[in-house]
Amino acid sequence: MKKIFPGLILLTILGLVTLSFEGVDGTYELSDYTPDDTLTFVVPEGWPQPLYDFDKNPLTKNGIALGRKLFYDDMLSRDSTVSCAFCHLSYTNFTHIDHKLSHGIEDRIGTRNTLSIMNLAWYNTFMWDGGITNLDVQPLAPLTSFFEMDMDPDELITRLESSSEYPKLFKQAFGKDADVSGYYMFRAMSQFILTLNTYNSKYDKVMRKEAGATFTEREQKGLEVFRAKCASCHKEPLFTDGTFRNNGLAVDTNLNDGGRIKITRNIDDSLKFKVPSLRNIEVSYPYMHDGRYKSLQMILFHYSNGITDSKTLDPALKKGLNMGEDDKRNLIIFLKTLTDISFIRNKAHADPNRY
Amino acid sequence: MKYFLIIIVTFFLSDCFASNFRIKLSHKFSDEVFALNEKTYTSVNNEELTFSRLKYYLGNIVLNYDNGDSYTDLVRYHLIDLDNPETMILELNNVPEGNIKTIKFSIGVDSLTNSNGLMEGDLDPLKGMYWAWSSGFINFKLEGSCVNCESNKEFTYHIGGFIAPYQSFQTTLVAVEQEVSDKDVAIEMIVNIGEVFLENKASLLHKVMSPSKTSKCFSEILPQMFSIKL
Ligand code: HEC
Ligand code: HEC
Repeated sequence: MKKIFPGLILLTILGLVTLSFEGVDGTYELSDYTPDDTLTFVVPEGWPQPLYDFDKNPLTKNGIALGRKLFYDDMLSRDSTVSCAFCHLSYTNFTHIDHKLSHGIEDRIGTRNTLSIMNLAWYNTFMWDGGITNLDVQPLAPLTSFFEMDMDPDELITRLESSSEYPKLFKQAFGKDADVSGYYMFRAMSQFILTLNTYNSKYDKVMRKEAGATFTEREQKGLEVFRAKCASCHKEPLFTDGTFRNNGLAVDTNLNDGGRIKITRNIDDSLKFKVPSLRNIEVSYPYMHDGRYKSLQMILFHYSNGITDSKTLDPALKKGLNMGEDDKRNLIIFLKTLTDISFIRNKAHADPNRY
Repeated sequence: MKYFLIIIVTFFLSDCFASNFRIKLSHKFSDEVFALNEKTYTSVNNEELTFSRLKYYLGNIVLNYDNGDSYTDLVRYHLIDLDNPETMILELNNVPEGNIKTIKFSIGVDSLTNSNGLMEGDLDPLKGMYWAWSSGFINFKLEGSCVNCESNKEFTYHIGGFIAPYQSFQTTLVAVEQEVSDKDVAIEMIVNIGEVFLENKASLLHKVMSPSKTSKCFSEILPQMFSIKL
């Protein structure tokens, strides 16, 4: 057995030599692709383990850079006017503020409010109805949706292949055999999305007992109201428990969106939607799956006085959430401590053509 | 050095007692050659049909020999696309000698693979065979129109689903008499699209586009399309 090792070493050396020769043809520098140069995904103190399988798609500098470029590229839509970032803007927590329903190419109006993109390594279902069960295949939805980017998959590959930059960037990110394909494109997009993590709000600093970080009296009272009334669904530290529930919104008869039932076809899932995270909620209005509420005041009015009863209404909300005016004011003050300026202003997340 | 020898010997042996086995898919509508965007076919229910798309997954191919042995295709899934003639020929390499009695294969993608996340090649989600809104593969896609139908001429059948009770993954077995010797062999597999329209009428069923009872029932007729030309 021992004799194999010298042979292996020799083969490896030979392999390295041939590889480095291939880099000389000028198409790309092989040294750029460093498979061992994977980045470690940081799990904040006290957080659960992420659900994303990083072994299948290890994060690398080049992979993230490619994903970021794709995320900001208009060429990914049929008429080259809309990129992912068009709806998911970095400085508004990767959502499209002021639009109730998403707004795609040719001003086509979709059927749901854009979701924020953040901390997605901790999820295993995506979209308001949880229809997508793997982050890597999520971008297929906006890319091919008539209301969003309306792109033909074959045309997308042709565009990327004939671009002056992409074929080289794919190889830099995934090795010399990585031709332009959906497989690598989706992996790169996931890698970028997996860097969009927010856990440095005032709330986080207080929880980590960082020096100088303390809640004001009102913030502290707001946290208590939150834990009593909201945290069963909007569970800390992600501010969602990842379930689908009916929180008592009256059905919009124009949209007739049944939510989760569309996926499971189970009558018990009618009108249930993903419990969204409340991180950076201050900057990601309007709210709910159809963007019906413009402000946090309206949200609290909904939970205290506006619950619509139905068969699938969550039991916790049957009687509404009883909150006094002071409770509500404190709660809103607390929710604002979830804003993470370092996240929304992070230049590494912004348009690579500008930063 | 011993390892090296073994490797050489294995190569030698496999070269000697195995051959390449080719399955050629011939698409038909009853007795007529099936082609997209060209001809009009008449179903047993007198519907005049034209087709614009046919794509499906064929996979898990196993050749069963008369002595009980079997050979499993190394490629798990092949995407058959009528717009792409290359996909109509399935090459199985280094198939051992013997008498093949049956070929087992599946139509569609199994549930484990469906839950595996992102995959390459024919299973790349950009191949047009992955549902964007509800994760999972489309096993079989047939689109076209019914020329003599009164309204709603178009039909779109996207058959798929891997979660109970709507699994639409099908496995089937076709009989074949084929000897494999040291020469390459080619057999022809007939795929008769007419089978889809024996009981089903395009004028009644316009759209199947999600996992459902209809989708599952539809998938159950797919195995009938396949036979070996003897
Ligand atoms: C036209 C606006 C629009 C564009 C363009 C768009 N999205 Fe979205 N995005 C949405 C909407 C709306 C939702 C929620 C959809 C739903 O639940 O049905 C969403 C949801 C998501 C989610 C799920 C988040 C979660 O918490 O479940 C991710 C991830 C995402 N988009 C990534 C992308 C990527 C990557 C692109 C570019 C390929 C993109 N989006 C392009 C509007 C858009
Ligand atoms: C029974 C579970 C449950 C409880 C309790 C609950 N929520 Fe929600 N919340 C949800 C669900 C589900 C949604 C999404 C509903 C939809 O869009 O259809 C939601 C949506 C929201 C949104 C909109 C987020 C966005 O990005 O659009 C905010 C803000 C919110 N809740 C705040 C609160 C507050 C504050 C409390 C406590 C007073 C609370 N929720 C209590 C389940 C709950």
